[in-house]
Amino acid sequence: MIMELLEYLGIALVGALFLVVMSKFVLQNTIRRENHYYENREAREERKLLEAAGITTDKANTDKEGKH
Amino acid sequence: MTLGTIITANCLHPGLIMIAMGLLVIALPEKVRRPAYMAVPVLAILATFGLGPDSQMVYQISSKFGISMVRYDNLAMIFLIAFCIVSFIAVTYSLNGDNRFEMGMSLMYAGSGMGIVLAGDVISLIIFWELSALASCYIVYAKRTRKSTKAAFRYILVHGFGGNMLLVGIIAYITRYGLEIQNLTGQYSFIFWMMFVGVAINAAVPPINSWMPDAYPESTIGGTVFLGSFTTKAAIYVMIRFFAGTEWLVWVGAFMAIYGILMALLENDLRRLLCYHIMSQLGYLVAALAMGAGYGVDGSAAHAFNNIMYKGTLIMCAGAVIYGTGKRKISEVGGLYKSMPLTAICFMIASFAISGMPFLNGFASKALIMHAVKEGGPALAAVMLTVASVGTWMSIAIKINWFVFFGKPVHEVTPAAEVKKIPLNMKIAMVLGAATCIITGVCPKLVYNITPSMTDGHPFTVEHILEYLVLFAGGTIVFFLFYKRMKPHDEISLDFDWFYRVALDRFILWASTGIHNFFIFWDGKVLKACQYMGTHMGNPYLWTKESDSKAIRNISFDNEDREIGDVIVAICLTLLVMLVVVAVIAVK
Repeated sequence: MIMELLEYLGIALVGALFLVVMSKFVLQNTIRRENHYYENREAREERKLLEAAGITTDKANTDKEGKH
Repeated sequence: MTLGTIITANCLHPGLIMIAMGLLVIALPEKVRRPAYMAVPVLAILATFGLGPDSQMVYQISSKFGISMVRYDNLAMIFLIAFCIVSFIAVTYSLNGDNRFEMGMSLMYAGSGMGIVLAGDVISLIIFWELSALASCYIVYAKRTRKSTKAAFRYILVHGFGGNMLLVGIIAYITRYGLEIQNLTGQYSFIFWMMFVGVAINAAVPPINSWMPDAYPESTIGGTVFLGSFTTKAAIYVMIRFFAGTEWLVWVGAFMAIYGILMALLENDLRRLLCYHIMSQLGYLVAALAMGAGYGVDGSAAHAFNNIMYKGTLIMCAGAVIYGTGKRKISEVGGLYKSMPLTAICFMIASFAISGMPFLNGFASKALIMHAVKEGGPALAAVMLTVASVGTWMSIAIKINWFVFFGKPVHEVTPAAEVKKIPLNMKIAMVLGAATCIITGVCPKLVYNITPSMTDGHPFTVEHILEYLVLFAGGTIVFFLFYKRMKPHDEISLDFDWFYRVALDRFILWASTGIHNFFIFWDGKVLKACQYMGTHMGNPYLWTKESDSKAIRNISFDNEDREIGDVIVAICLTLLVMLVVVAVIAVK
């Protein structure tokens, strides 16, 4: 039984490591790079709407608007 | 053929009660609306108690053709009971809502979910399926913000597409198999694929999964509890009916389980994170149903039941955090245990349940699933599901409990004194949800006994309990090893919606620019040609002027060096040719 539990601990450690590396390093970096485009587009849309309503905006502030 | 509209029934249909009362709730005056709203799930529960093996309800369209709306068996009943319980809890939670349309639509949505699981044939199945899509779309929209409107539009596009795929599949299905619902495993035809894609969209199978984290968090906090409980679980029910035993689905399920966790680890928005957990848990259900009858289907049904309970509780607690603080991101809150102790405890119970902590409901149903996959599936798939369990522990049980409730806030957060008090009805609903997690966790037979084959997972063995504790220990070690990386970050996390938010956007930009340039190019050419023709037709001598031949250039009036004799010769020659031609024609 101890061997089995050690096996499970191994799976847990390696699995957790895999998840962290995949999500926090590989996926996060890829997603961050790709999301700039979307983020900027959302901010542009937001800014257009505000400008159409006659509100002048600071670009740096509105860039944050598109975030979830 | 005479057409009639007669309903032959020996029972009450809980789903139809919910739908009819949903319409009534919209019309009722405010004074009686809330009591009526609260009474509806109770009526549905009573109607469910009245169902039995002989129950039937047929909507007789003609003397030879009727739509069967009730099918009583254990599979339908386990889903129906779960839907009834969660309806009651969700209604209690959203009792302080003030949008009567949302209240009515929520009841109709829950009713259509019940209609799907009770459907006696494919026609009633598709009717309730489409009704569910419409009602849920309104719930997404109900917040009436710009984001929720856009999310509802995308939601109805995706579900309209999925619903139509299923409809086409069902029409083709009726022509081959008739109205009765039967398993399609191994019959890879047009019908299989159309129906599978239609159902898979609702079950959030990648790559068409992003509608869920896109839409659910944009609804109201009460609406999300309904949304998180019906669409995906009803899709799993339909998958069990039609595709249970399709072995390759185990890979789909294992991938979903891992992918959901990877995205949940990244996510900063509380409700989006929970949506990825719904997807991950659906992966377990899909993997289990792939193993077929026995442990597989029972595991899938039991886990769906438990999932509805703990997921509902998690969503309610997340909603309470949003209600109390006005914040929806993990990075914007922290240390809420002091100001929201009940919410923190309920969340902790539900998060431990979803991770598979012994003596909570997730543990009992995961035992069935893991047994099914280990016995009948590939070893790698079993390892993937085990790793997903570790990830679930890390991404919800540690991450949210630590960063939202018990740990010190990472960033500046709302002071405890400013946290709004949670209404009593919301507290009761959260406690009810957490209590179901404990009750069905301590007495798993309550759920095992209503599964289709009534298999017993025997979860409470020392080995099994220790296995899970060891898994959690491993996850905890790695989490705190990478603590800095695990801290929530404020950023967007697109997943497969990258294809339509970024790639499609870029494609449209590229295509529209290309088409614009194409027309600009040809417009220029055509305009130039017209200009050339117009100028030269108007003044034929320009042709002679621009000719490569010196002889022709010379006859141009524009040419100052022209020799008039050449012109006269040319005219005479032309006349001569003409005379010859006329003579030849005349002789003939």
